Amino acid sequence: MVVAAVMLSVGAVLAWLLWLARDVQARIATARRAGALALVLLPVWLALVVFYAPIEASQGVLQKIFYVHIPAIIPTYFGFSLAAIGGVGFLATRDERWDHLALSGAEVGVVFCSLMLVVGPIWAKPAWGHWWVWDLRLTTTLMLWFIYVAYLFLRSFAFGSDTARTFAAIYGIAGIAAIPFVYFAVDLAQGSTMHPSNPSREGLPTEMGQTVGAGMVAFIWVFGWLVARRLELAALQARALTPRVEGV
Amino acid sequence: MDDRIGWVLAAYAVTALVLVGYALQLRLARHASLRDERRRS
Amino acid sequence: MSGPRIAAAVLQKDLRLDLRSRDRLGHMAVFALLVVALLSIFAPSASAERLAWTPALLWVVLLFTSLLGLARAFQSETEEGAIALLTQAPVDRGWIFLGKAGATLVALLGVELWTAILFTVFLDVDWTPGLAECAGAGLLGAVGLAAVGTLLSALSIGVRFREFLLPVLLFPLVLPILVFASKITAAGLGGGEVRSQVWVAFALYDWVFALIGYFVFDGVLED
Repeated sequence: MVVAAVMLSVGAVLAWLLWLARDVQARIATARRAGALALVLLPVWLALVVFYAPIEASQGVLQKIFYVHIPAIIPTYFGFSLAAIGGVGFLATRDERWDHLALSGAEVGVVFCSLMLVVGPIWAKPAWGHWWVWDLRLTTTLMLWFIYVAYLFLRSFAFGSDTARTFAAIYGIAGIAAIPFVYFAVDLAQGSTMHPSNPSREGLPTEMGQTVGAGMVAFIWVFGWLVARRLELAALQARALTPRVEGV
Repeated sequence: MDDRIGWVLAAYAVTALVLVGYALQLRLARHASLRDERRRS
Repeated sequence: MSGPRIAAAVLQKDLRLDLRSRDRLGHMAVFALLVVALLSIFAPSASAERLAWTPALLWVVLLFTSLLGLARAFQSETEEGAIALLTQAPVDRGWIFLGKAGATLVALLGVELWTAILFTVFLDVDWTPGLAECAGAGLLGAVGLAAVGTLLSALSIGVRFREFLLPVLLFPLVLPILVFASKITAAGLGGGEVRSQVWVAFALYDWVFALIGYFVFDGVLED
């Protein structure tokens, strides 16, 4: 049921963002509802973290960082997917709106990716004694971060022009194509992992699963709201660049 | 209470700060854009 | 002129330029020499330690040396304004990519051979126990670097801070090449085994990026 809720949220946010990107200025009011939803979901999630989720045996209270670290995964990959989808859309149609979607997805995605890379060590240091561990998941997230950042650098250095947008779209596609190989490569390079093994395979206690699920759903809507706002900004800035010559 | 609660609070605080900070930055940029537009028209 | 012919023409032109001017190849060769020489001065002298690091070291050296060559992949076109001529070719522009990448591939294979010799001379590496594996890794690695590198080199033409941007764009994408190649090389030198999945993943990676380069090059040349 948790999985269903998460998938539903992803689908809903994706559909909404794709719809919103078509005419941001006119449709941005819907963002308020998304924001409101997020504002409702967040305290629910926090309440679950504090009162509902049990204290785990081996790590004690520290384990509760889990509920803020894991939910950031989906927005991280969601953002990159939007960048790739936007890139393909732009290459196919040359419509600027696709590019705005790509940029917004990438920017918000890199925020969540950075969060994962900061919160991970905050957990790792007290739990395992090291700030950083070269394990599969953290390393892959770091590589993803590098790809994101490279993408954003490329955009900023190439100036806003169709050339820049085309190049960025291509790099976005190359980036997402590389990710499965990066995952496999890091796995190969590591051998063993210090990262806590995937709980769902071990059977997470229901309360924990539900709390993580609540966090995931909340973060997905926060992500959606942020992307919407970023889309709005992109549309505003694009308007600023076009000369006010065309009629209507 | 486990004395490692500090780490937990730090993790949640950082998350809140980053997300709120980014949202604020978007808002500021949006206002600047709108203001520029008003000036131009 | 058909696609493959154009690719061959581009390939030949680049190779001829490379061999005649010897700029690109020469610079890469000297760079590799310099790096390996420096490394050998402070590398651990105990042979077991050294052997453990050799594959990774080899591929790091190759990466940086290739970067030097890749930055110049389109130098002749941009300098002579020949890009416009290329774009007018009435043919699927993906073939131009293949020609370009092919030329880079040849250059990289040459660099690999040279670097392997340097490693033997300066670091006492004996390639014979794992010759097949190392050659295989070398070939697949060169193809991958050529494909991804040529694409990214084209993407960064005329972009600001290119010396910074190209490595930043390149390194995350080629991590798989480095890992696969160094693992295979390590297995070859140390007599270990590498799962066949690694070879498959490696070949798949090369194939995927060659395809991507081929299909998107139209968009790249549009300007």
